Amino acid sequence: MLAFEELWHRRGQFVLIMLIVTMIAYLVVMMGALGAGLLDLAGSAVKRLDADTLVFRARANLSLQQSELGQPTVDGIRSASAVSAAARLGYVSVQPILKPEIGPAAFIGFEPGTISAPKIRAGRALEPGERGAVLADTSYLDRHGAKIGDTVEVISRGTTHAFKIVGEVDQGSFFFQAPMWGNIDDWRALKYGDGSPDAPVATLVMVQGSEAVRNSLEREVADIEAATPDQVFEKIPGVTAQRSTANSIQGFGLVIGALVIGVFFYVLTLQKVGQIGVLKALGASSWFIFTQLLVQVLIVSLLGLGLALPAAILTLRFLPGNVPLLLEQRGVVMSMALILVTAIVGVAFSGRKIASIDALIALGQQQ
Amino acid sequence: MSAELTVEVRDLNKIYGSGERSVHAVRDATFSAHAGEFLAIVGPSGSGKTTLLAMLGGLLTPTSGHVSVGGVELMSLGSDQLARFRRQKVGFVFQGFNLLPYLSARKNLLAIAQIGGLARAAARGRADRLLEELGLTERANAYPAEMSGGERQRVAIGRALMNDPSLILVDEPTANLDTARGKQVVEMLASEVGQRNKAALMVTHDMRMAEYAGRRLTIEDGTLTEH
Repeated sequence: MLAFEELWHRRGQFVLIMLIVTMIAYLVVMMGALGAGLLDLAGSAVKRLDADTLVFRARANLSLQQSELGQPTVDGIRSASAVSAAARLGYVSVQPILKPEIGPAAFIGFEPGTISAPKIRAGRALEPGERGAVLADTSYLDRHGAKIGDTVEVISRGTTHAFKIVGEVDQGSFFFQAPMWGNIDDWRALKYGDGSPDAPVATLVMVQGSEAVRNSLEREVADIEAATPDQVFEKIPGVTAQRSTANSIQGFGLVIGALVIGVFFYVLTLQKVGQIGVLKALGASSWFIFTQLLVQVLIVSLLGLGLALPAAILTLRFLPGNVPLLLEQRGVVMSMALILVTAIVGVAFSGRKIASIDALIALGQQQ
Repeated sequence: MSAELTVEVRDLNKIYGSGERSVHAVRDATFSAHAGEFLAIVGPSGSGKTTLLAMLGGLLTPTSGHVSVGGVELMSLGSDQLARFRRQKVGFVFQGFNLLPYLSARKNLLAIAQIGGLARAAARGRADRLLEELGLTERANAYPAEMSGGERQRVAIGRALMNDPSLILVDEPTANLDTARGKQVVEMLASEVGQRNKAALMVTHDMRMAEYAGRRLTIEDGTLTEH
């Protein structure tokens, strides 16, 4: 095939453009990974909650910091129609005493033995009613250098509380904070202090139920707002901004890629105007000539992508764990498909140029 | 040898531009050529000979008149049909060698098969036979940059024969060759045309080269005269 022969003949030039494609693809994939990684830190734990619906106080803007639910509301949610399971969850930010420079951690209160209990990765689960023990998230153990069996002391409302780490979970973070999961009653003590019977009993209630559950909840229980975990995630401060920043950097990467590939092949086409005229005089259609170019673009782009992916994977392997990069299969496949599409769009100009070349120039032409 | 009428040109005109600045490049050209005939059209530069060649090859639309090649009436064809006409009925030998620089001699011939969608095995056999006849078997894998001028022109002749055309159009074949080499190439063309029973039309400004052709026409200021 003409495309391959030319590619081989001009391999120096094509290797160069392939390396540029590699670098652009690497940048786009890494930006995607950074975006995904930051979003993961922002509150991946919310998305991974085992619930169809999360119920917040009305006018709390689906915010874990603002929402507070009292006992009557929680009882109302539990007894609403279409609810098959419900469990309380509490969120409070606490300051670990050891390594304060790392910043606050999240303390998530849950009800052991219910749908709000996270999946255990190592160690053991909390018994119902068990207090003074926590399940630390993997991110917490990594960041704070702790391990199962350690006791962590945290400060909340000026008081120190001690918890023993009995298990490890991998639920992800809340608000960029590494979380520990403890009994909801411990959460209540941390957030409101002991001896306040009228204090709220939950930040939110996790609900499982049929599709109609959100409507029936909002109809049957006063002063609440129900949403899916994904909707709640989107409301986390910074999530939307982060996503659009990461997306626009990726978008720039793609535009630059399309331009570089487009210009390269356009210049190549301009260099070959004489040859293209000869091919046309010999009876080749513009489409035949353009498909040769497309084949070359596809080969160069696919090889470039083929190099970028292992490079990205290697980078992630050798970067320290606290760099928020997350290579998601879906994101990577999307980025790569987009690069391929932009490469093809980039050569559309060359297609126009090819179509405009007159076969007549083949006559009287000195090579 | 059959005397099949291959080329028929009647009252062919080409006028570039319009009004006072118009140029009448070809004026009422009328001639015909049969299979096996080698015609030379001789004229100085600017005489209209390349314009005539371009119209016969379906590269340029005449202003008026009638051209028929291998039974195909060119005036009625659109650009896609003209491309197909060139693929099937015409073989070109260009002035510059105009070989594809990234293809070996053999692959320059095979490119024609690829453009024309010819079966690969048949094309290979044909290319190898042509290379042998042109004395290029040893040079089959050489690239244009590695070949001499004569070798390149022989590859160009092979390429023109690759699609088994009705008409071979030759544009100043000796412009890049010394006299001896030029003679060789034109002789070779004449012999190929005779053997294969093709019609060929060569435009040249070199009267000496025209001597090898069976028929000679001269063109001056767009007017064709046969001798």
